[in-house]
Amino acid sequence: MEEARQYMDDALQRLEDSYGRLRASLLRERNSAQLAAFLPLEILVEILSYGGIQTTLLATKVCHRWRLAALNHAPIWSRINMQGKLSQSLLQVQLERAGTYPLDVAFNIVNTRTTVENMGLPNNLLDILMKASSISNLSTRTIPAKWTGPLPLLESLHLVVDPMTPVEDYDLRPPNLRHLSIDFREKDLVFHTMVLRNLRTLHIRSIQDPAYKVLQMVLTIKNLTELVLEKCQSGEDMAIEPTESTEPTEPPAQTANLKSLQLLYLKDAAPLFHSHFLKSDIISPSTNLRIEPYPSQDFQSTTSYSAIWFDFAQEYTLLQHGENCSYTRLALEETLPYDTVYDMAHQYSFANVTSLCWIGANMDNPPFQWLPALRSLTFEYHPPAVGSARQSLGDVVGAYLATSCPQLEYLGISIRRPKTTTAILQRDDAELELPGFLETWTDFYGEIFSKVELYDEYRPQRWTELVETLKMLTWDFEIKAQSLMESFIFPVFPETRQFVLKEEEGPAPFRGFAQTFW
Amino acid sequence: MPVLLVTSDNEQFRVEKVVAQRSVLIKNMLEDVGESDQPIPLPNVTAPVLKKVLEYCDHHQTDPLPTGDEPSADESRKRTTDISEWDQKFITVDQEMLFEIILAANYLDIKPLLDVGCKTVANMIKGKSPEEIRKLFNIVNDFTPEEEAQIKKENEWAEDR
Repeated sequence: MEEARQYMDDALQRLEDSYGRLRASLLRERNSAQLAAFLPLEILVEILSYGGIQTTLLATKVCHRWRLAALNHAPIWSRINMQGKLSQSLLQVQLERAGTYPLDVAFNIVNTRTTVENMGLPNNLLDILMKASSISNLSTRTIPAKWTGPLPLLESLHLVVDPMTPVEDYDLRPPNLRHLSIDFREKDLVFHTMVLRNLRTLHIRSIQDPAYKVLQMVLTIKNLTELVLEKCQSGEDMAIEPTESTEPTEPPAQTANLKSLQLLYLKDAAPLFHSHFLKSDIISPSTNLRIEPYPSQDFQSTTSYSAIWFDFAQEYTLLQHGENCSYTRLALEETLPYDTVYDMAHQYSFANVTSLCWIGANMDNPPFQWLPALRSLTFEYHPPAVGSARQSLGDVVGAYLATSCPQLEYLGISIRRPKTTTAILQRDDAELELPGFLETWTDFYGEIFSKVELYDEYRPQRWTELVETLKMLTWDFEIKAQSLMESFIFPVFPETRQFVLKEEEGPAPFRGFAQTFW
Repeated sequence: MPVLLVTSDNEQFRVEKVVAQRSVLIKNMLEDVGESDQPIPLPNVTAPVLKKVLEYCDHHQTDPLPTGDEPSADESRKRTTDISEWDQKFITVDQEMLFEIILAANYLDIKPLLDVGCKTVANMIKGKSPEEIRKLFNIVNDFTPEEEAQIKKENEWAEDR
């Protein structure tokens, strides 16, 4: 009896299995008529890589082809993000599916009153570290004392120094490290010169050392291309560099410099960092510079600039370095951007600037008197509302511009519509002021102005009757149907390397309670 | 000099070279052929799809061409699903057309357009259940009993959080 039943059950199972397979193959035929299910695998993989691990997990349950694409793409599984909630079993699945593909690990960092530590650590931590090519948010507390495990794959490391970790116990030497970011939290931590020597990228945050010492350390790195110094205060008591008379511990190599740097970013760095790093014998004119907040009076630029852009909406300015395709990016003072512009004109070499562009607001009293070589001027004019300071197009295009910039040959004007439609605007005579300027120019130089392009989003119809007159006053006059700023390419300042991923999916990690000040 | 493109359904499109060259496939073909007014056959693209693709190429004709370097692994970590406003409007089409555009972008080798398409699909499936995704794209569950068993096991893993 028992045997017979077993036999029947087996037969039923076999029937079900083969029926199931037959059914599946028919359903696959049906899906193949549907583009979504029949996209080439490489495209499916591309889609999944935008969706991240959650989407990829989901894809394994949708249909056969999606599952195939998801399971066979190791790089997606290799991104292990512990910033959210990552279960041990999901981690295991990811490790399995990533196979031998180098891991990209992001830890969850938690700040308590006295420590900086990683929470939710897996039990096979060291194994994971040794398979990683990129690690971010690693607290020094997580590394076992005196651990010198080999990290041959590690290329990128973002490390946070825990104040309670004894630094002398810390001796990590990844031989192939290229990108390093350390948040020192005002603690000492010395990285072996063997490690530093190979670096291409170095981000330093909250280092305690004075500027000259940091410079000495950085100068030992030969091929550094990106350096970020953030929240470095160069402790006041240690601010004074040892003078010649004191015993030099390590004579700095005279030839050492940072000329290979493509990007130097000083963010909330003490003025001493400006004076130590921003020297022509340290960095080259082809280095892109980014400085926030706006540098103090001590900073004297030696570079000669060729073009300037102001973005008043996003509060920064870009200065192009001579013939180079490199830039200085400065944060503008939040409250007084116009004063900043005047300061700059005093401190920087503007004599060779040929092009000026600004967007986002009107510039009150533009610095034309310092721009004798200006050839091209492109700007936005925002008709101001009643009640705000009086400003007109004539403040920009007027006798001041004509007399200050004799080489001007291009004028690009975008008149913008006010953002709030209900605002009552001041009387705006742009249609009288532009011809007025062009007449002044003709009177002054005895010939008509070269080229004007105009876009008026506010009252475009006012120019219709004037086009003929304006064409008489210039060699080349054109009304544009689109903002000049859209075709005018604002240069892109290079991004710094992103060491820490912003959490995009899954629940936000618990960040603790907001600090209370008593 | 304009370029003549011929679709699978035998329609002809005359477009400016700068616009056509957004497609790396066409760019390479033009380089191989040299100066010639020979029409370029595109047997994998239909007229309505090509019309749409050319609209994209026309709008983006002045964008810097993507460099030859493949995005490295560490670049892929900072991938965002942000799509510019114009692109978003452009890609608001019915599903069939969306996938056709993706396939055409892949075939014609227009990487930025392929990215826009893939990001759009990624955004569509984000946060949905497998069943909702199947419904959305009109696909059916075609797993074999073995696959079903495997998925069931994986679901159990996922639950112990």
